[in-house]
Amino acid sequence: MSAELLTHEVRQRRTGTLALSLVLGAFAFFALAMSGSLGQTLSDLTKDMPEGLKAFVGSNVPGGYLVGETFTLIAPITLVAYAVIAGASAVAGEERDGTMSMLSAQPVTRTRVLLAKAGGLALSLLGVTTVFWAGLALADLTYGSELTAGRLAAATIHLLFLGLAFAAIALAVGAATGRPEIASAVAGGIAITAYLTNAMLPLAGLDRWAELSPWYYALASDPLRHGIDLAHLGVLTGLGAIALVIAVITFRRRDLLG
Amino acid sequence: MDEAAIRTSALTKCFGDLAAVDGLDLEVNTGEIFGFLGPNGAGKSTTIRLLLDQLRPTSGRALVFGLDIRERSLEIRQQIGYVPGDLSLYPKLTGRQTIDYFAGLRGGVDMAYVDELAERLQADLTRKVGEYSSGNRQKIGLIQAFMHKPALLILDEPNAGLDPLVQQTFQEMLREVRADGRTVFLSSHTLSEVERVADRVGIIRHGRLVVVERVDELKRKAIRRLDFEYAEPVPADLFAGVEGVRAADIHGVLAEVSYEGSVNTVLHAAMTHEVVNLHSRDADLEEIFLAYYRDTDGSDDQQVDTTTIPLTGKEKNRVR
Repeated sequence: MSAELLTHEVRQRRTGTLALSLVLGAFAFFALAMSGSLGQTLSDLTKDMPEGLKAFVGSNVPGGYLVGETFTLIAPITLVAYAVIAGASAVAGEERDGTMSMLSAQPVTRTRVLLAKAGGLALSLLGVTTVFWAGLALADLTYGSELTAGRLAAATIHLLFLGLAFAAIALAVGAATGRPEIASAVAGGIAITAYLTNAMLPLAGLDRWAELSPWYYALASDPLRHGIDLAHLGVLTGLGAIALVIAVITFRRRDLLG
Repeated sequence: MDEAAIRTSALTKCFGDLAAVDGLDLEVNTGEIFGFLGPNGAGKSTTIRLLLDQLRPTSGRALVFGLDIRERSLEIRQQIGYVPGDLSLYPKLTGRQTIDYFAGLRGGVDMAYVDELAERLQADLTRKVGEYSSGNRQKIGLIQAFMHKPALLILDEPNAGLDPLVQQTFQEMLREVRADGRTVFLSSHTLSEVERVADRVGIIRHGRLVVVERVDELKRKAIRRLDFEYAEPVPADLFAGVEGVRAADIHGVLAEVSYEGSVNTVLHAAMTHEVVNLHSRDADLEEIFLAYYRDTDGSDDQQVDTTTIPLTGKEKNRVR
C-alpha cells in the first residue's frame, strides 16, 4: 500500500520535476561550456578585489565564474525554492485542495502518508540534481575543463542534501499546520535568512555565525575543489531527519483541515 | 453481528468556543440505512470526520463495529466506504486512474464490480477528473465508496450533482447494500433525499441530536392538511379546541385545517356545516423536520430554519 502512495506522489510531481530538470540541466551544460572563454575575462575583472568579495562573486572557484555562480547561487537557490514550494504543499496541499479527506479515509496511517510524501519529494530532488549533474558532466566531456565528473558529483550531492533539508523543513511546517502558504512562508523565510547569514556574515568577519546556516554545510567545504564533506552532509541529514520526525509527530496529532 | 455499526457517547468536538458536535449520543444499527439530517453547519460532517479519525474528539468517545475510533481507526477504515461532502479528486488523473489509486490503497478490489458500478451509474472513467462535470465527479466518488463492498457506507450529502435518474439508481444501490446486511450512514440537509431509503433518521442541530425516529413513524406523525369549501361562510372558531388540529385558517367559505393524528375528529367538526368540496393534501415530512427544529429552542432558530431548509412547493404555497 505504501508503494501505491509513493507511485502516486511520483506521478503527481512528474511534470514539475521534469521541467525543472530540463531547465537546470540545460543551464548547467551551457554554464560549463561557456566558462572557458568567459572565465578569463572575469578573472581579469576581479583579480584586484579582496578575497571575501571574490568568494561572494564566485570568481575564485574552480571552473571559473559561471560554474561558481551555478553552484553557489543559481542551482542551490532554484533547488531550494523548488524544495520549499514542493515540500510545503506535499501534505498541506492536499488539505488545501480538499483531497486529504478522501485520502485519509483510506486504510493507510498518517505516518505512511507522510513518509510517502517525503519519499516523493526526495525522489523528485534526486531526479532534478541527477539531470543537473548530467548536464555538467556532458559539457565537461564535450568541452573539457579542470573539473572532473567526480568533483561535479560531489558538489551536486551537497546541493541535493541542502534541497532535502529545506524540503523536510517545509514539509514539517505544512504537516504541522495544514496550510501550504504558511509552510512556504516559514520555510522560505528560513532559507533566505540562512542564505544571507552564510553569505554576508563572513564579509563582516563573523565567520563562525555562518555555521548556523544550512547553506554553510552545502557550500563552505567547497566540494567542487575538495570533494564530499561527510561531516557537513551529516549536519544536513540530521537537520532533515529532525524536521521529518517533527512532521510525523505533529501530523499524527492534529485535526486534518481538508 | 448484533454489534451496533456506530455508537457514540457524549461525543464532543469544539473548535475554539464553538461546539460543532456537542455531547452526541448516537446509535446506528448494523444493516440499516440511517439518515443523518440537519441544516448546513449542524455538525453532520464534523461527526463523520470524527468517526474517520480525521478530526479528534474534544471529549466523549465513539465505536464503529465495536472498535474505538481513536485506537482502531485503520481497521475501521478498512470496513468503510466514504464520500465526503465536498468531494475533491486529483484533477490530472482520469476517472480510471483515480479508482485504481484508491483500489490500490485498499490492497486491490474486484475491477469487474467497478465496471458494473460505473455502468449502472453511467459514469465516464476515461477522461481526466478536472474535465468532468460535478455529477460525474460525484459518481467517481460513489464508485470508490462502493467498490470494496464495505460493511459501512458513510455518505456525506451524496446526491450532489446527480441527476434524478442516477439518484434513483443510487437509491437502489443503497437498498441492495441493506439487503446484503451492510449498513449505510447517509447524511443530508434535506429530508426528501433520505425519506425514500432510510429506515430511521436522526436530526441534528447545533451539534446536538434533536430526535431519532423511524421514518414511517415520522410519516404517521406528520401534519396533514384538509381544505374545506362550504356553501355558506363559516364561523372563524369552527375548529377551535378540536383534538389534533394544529391550525385552522378560515376565510369566508374556505377553511384550511392542518392536523395530526386521526382525521375523524376534524371531519366531525367540519360536518356541522354544509361542505361543498373537500381537498386533502399529502403528509409533508418537511414540515415535521421544521417542527423539530422549531421545538428545540429559542430565538435564533427562525433564521436558521428559513435559510437552510429548502421548502417544498407545497410549503411555499402555504406560506403565500
